Amino acid sequence: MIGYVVRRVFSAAGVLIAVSVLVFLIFFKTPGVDPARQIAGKQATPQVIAQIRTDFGLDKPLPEQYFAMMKRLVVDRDLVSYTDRGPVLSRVAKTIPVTLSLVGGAAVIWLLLALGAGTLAAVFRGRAVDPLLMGLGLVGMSLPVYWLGGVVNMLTQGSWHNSLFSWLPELGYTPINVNPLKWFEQLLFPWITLAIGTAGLYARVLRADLIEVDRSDFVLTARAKGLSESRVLLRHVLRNSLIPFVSLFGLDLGAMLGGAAVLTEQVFGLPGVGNLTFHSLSRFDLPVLMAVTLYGAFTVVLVNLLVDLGYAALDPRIRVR
Amino acid sequence: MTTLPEKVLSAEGLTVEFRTRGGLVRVVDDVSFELRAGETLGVVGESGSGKSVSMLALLGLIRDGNAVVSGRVLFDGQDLLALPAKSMRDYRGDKIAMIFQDPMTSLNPVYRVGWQIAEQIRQHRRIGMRAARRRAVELLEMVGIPSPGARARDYPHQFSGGMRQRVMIAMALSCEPDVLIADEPTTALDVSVQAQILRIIRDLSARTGTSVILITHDLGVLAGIASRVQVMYAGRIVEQAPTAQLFARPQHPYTVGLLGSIPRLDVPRPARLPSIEGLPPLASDLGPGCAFAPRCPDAEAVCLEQRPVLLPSAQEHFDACLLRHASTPDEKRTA
Repeated sequence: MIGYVVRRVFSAAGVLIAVSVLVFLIFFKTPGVDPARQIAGKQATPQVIAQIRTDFGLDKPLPEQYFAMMKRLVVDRDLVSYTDRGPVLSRVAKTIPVTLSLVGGAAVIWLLLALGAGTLAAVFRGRAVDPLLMGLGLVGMSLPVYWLGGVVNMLTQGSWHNSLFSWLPELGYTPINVNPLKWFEQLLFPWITLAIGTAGLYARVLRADLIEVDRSDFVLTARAKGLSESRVLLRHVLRNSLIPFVSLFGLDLGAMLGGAAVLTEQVFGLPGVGNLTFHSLSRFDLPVLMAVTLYGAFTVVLVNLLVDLGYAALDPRIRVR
Repeated sequence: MTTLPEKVLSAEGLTVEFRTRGGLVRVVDDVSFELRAGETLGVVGESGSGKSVSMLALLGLIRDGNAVVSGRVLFDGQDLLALPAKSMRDYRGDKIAMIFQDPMTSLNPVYRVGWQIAEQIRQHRRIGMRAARRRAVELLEMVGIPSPGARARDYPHQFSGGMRQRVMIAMALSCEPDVLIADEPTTALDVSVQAQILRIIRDLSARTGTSVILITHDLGVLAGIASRVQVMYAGRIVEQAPTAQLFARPQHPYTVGLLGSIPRLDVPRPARLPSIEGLPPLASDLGPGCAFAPRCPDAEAVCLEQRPVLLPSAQEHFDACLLRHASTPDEKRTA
């Protein structure tokens, strides 16, 4: 088990190196991208651009540039942004708690919603609740986050802000250690928005798995043993249905923590990882982009490792070796 | 045979129908039989003859919302089918236990086998987890699993098919049931393991006085183990007799055909192994007459129109062939 984790950490390092090389190459090989011109600004003379090219080492061969950048990122930890020469690492570090708060809270809501709705629909399959819940799930999945978030903002920050939602602070993010109540209030609607889009899929997947497992032979055995329906459901059916559910969760959680919740962050003005990625991408700011991409790849790898360990805990047939 | 042992379980007019788009389809049709204390009753038939479904119905284990189960199942002076679900559960696994065809999929893959046995004991007995586990180890030893103490902590995938079926038997017998229903317990196993499993079922049921219903599609399996056999075809019982008598003097043409298609070593080999022509009918397109008539070598016009009933031809021997009871079928009607 420990050997397994160590090996996974090494393979993760390999993944991160590969990702960094890819990001670097794609950036420099994209047509029309000249970082020196970007840094210099619109009015720059050719002399200024040339000066910047030398200052930033952009005239050196690509491998050399790559190693220099990685050294400043990982070893010296003083990599600066192309656009404003601000420190990259602290900028990325500041966005992580925002995304963690958003995705963590939303995950709690969507997991609870999905477990409840999926189980109810499976238990009462064929009756009115089942298509009702699954229909709602489908609607939730189909609502684009930017649209749903926009509508939520329109209601909570706009038309009803003076009546129903007068307690709601302005959009934005307040760290939990500064003001926990404000942290909660500002994140409440982002959480719900992100959860609604995700819970539907999870509920549908869980329902399908519950129904499939319910038909399996060992569940017939469990019923032949004389166990109560609730025990059959919780101990025998649900436990075996959680495996695909957990793998789905791992994929989403890793991606969202790495910045895939960018739309929600944008709509609600949350300065998270996704937002930073978006801005660095639109400004061709390679140092920031590099740092934030590596962070994203790292979370995906880390969460996948945790999911694989979770599998082994859920299903004894899966051994970690 | 003068006095028969008392009956432990009986089915009266057990019928299972499924609602389909094409209307009600009857897969078990008016099945009545009784199981006596300590006996092993064999139930034979092809796939789809209603053997498994009738046994699942007996235990209230058919959960399909489109299934309609009617008739009576008498056990302990109670009609099990009339009981509320909660009381039915108290019989299941305690007084009447069941084991299934495929041991590879019948145990929950995520729990240790000892725990799975203990779970059943604790469902029906007031007993602590430790005592239940100790009992589980005893049961594993009883069914011949080596080093049962260690094996109880293993997961199902760490056992072979034969060993898993032993675990299933240990679990089924954990509450010392009055009735054990074994649904093709050896079908999924290697031939060499089949005999061991059958011997375990026979020996243990004899020791505990458990009556056994052994479902199979293999008449050979029943020869050494069942005291009586009932043959099912298209959801109906077509013949019922003590085992030796069924083999020696089969009455129903279907039974005759079944016995004829068993390869034999003691007679000269025929050019081709005899078989019953045709296929069993679909439950959805049965005619009004005998279900076997379309495939029956002896069938006459009447067979396609008149529904036969089980009638006695000798002591303890019943069959449902119109031609063999052609004289006055209504007068000899059994109860």
